Amino acid sequence: MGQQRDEQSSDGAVAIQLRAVTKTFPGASTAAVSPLDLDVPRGEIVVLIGPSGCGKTTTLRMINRLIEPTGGTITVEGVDVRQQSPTELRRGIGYVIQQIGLFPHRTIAQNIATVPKLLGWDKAKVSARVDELVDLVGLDRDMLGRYPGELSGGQQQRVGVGRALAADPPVLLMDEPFGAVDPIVRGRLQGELLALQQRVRKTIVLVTHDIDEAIRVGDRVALLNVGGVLEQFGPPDALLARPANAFVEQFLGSERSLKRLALSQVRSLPHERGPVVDASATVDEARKVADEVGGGWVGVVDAERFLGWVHGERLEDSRPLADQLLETPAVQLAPDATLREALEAILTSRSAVAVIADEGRFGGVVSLEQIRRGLIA
Amino acid sequence: MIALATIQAASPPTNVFEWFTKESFRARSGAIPHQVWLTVWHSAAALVLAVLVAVPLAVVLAHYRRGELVAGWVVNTGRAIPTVAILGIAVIVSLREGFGFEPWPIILSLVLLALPPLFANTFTAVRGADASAVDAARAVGLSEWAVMVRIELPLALPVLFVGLRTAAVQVVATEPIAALFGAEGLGAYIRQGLGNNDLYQIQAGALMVTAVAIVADLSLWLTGRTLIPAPIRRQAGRSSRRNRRSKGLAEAIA
Amino acid sequence: MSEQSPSRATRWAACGAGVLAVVIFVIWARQAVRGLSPDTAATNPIIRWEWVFKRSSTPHELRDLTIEHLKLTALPVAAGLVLSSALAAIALRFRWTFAPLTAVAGFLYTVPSLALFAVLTVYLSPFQAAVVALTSYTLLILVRNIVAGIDGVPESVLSAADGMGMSRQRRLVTVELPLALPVVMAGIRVATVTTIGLVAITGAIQLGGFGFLIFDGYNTQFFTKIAVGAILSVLLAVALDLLIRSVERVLTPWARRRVAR
Repeated sequence: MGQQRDEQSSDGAVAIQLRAVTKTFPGASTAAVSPLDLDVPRGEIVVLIGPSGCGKTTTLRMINRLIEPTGGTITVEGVDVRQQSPTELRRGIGYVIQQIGLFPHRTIAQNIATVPKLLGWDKAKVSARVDELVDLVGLDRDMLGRYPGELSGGQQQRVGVGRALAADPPVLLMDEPFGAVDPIVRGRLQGELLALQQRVRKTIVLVTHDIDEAIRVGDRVALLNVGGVLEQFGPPDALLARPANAFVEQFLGSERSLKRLALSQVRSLPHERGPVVDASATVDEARKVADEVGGGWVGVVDAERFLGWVHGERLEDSRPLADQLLETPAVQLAPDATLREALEAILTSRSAVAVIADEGRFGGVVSLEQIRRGLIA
Repeated sequence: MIALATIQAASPPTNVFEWFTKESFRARSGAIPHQVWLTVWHSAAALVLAVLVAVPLAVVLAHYRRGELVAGWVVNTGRAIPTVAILGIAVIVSLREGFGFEPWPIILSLVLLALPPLFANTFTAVRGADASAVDAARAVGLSEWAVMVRIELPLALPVLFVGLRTAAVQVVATEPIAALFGAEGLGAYIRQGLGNNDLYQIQAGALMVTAVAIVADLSLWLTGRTLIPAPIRRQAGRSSRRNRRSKGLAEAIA
Repeated sequence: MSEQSPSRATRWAACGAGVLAVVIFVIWARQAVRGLSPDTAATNPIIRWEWVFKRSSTPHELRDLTIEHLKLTALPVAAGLVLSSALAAIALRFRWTFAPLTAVAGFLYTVPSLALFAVLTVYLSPFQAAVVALTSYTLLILVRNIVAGIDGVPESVLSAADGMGMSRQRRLVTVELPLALPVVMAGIRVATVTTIGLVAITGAIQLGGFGFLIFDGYNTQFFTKIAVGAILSVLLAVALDLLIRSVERVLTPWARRRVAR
């Protein structure tokens, strides 16, 4: 069962590298981050997650030197962060935080233009870039003259993302970016982030405390324990399938298998045509398929279109298959539907099999057995 | 305008501390304890009256969320009413009506001075009282009146005391002005010093007034500490830290 | 003091009512004094309007006093603002200085104004003494409000500014100062209005603005002068309060529009 975005992932090069990074805050008896090694591949979303006190935000803020590490080295695109001045470094790294931190006294356009102006871009270039970004994050251009106080939470966070991307930094740091919005908006923003990432291909480090968010948006998940101990680092599916230890297992929670289903797409399963006959076949042939492989049911396909299900006992000998009393399935799955959606379709289908339709063309079926086998693989 | 004491002393003091040690200089404006007492009594009476007027009014207005705008304006422009004008008018009216020179005109003008900080702080504090506490009080069946007296007022006490201290300092520091209109009190030393061009007497008067003001401030601070239960004090500190902007506004109008 | 701003309609209605009241009052007063000669006595024992409206030297006397009162208000507030900004900068840079600084400013507050004027006239001209003393009384309010205003800038905004690579100075000038403006302006308003009230006391050192009228009225037992002095003082305060509020509204467009959401 493959990783959802495997084929589009990184070129393998490391964009951000942490080596033996530690942080002990003044006056604290224990380390907030104990020696931590982490490689963030270029063009991937790496999620830092863990219970409170695990140093995930501290780790994030050490990358752009909002917090100075006590020890170890951090390199961004091969350059040690300590070789640059903090302000220079930060102008080259996008930064999004939960409270968004838009400047309330500046318009949306001025907010987005902050870093380009710091970098001394000329006016025309700045305003062209602002227009581009507003489109990219899905806001109306007539919002540009408004103040942040006039926007909803979700709109504000879109501006926050736009502001972070303004100077087209290769690296984006996001500190619980969707923590302050309601679950519905959060889900939508997560989807938008993934869609955005398809287009901009940034190296993103994202901190969250929401395991479902981590699984949904992360190419890789780094699960930290209290004191900044890295318990497991890998693709979400790997964590769910093979938790390294009891802590990871407990943190991932029950229903790990169900969570994994949300990670894989229908197209990742081996193709299976299922108990299906062509409309040109005879009634007897159809009855045979229904009895032998369909558990009583048979599907009819005509010119690559799935017409519907019919039970073997209801087949009337005198009619061609296309004219039988066919039950059309409630949903046909797109190839990029998740296995979780496939499971839902199976549970509600009379034939206990879900149908795949690729832009109307019949693409095979998904059975419970197939899903089960996929999880074990 | 200023009554003058005239006799030139044989050996004038060379600094303000010497002034205190020379009985002859003190004698001119009456005994120090007596003048201190007058200042303290005028100020204390004015403060008590101002509290009796400002606090209930502020609690009720803030509780019912009424008249915020008008109250804000009256409080702010009220600061601009010159105490000297009130004093002058009050003294003239009081004399004409036969109430005499002291102490009512003085106390009245000081009450007006103390009202703005007291009202503003109480109002802000009640408005900012923990909404969930007020809700809970209503939920267990307290009457509106009981909510005000038993919930909002106690919760407002820390900020109220800040206003009280501000008012006390202003009142004590302003009381000497009464001397310009011929009243006795610590201002008498300043008035005489002005009249005689006696710098040390002015300084002595100022020192004593300042001392009284600081003592008043400190004793009110102590009273607050003993009177207000520690959890409420801490609560006020916490919420003001959490919401520093509103604290700024509270201070702005204090 | 109001957190929720009044609606635009309420604001205009209030301004309109105020202007209308003043106009009606002036018309009424001019009617009331018609036929009175300048030396009429005892026709109206409380306020003798003929002194205000019939006496030929009154207008330019009042004008001169207004100018003096304005000077004695504007100079100390301006000087206080400059001084407080410096002190607040120190307090913000070195946090431990905040408590002692406000303690000293608070101590100045306890010094009786009358005595301060008197003591300072020994070393300075009466005008200088008045300005210095009045300035000292603005410090407590202004320093506290500047510091509170800058402290009140949300942590998240500062964090975002740092995260985008703003330098300290740039952050102060482009983010912290503008956002602190409402609280700072509130401080300036209170300082201005308080100073207007205190200016009257400089009457004791032969200055006073409208305070001159008050002292003069008291010494001559002429009630009208005291009342006029007091009323003009309050009117000046209302006018300056309004002026500063409008300046604040112009300078903080974002605060105005937030209500519209």
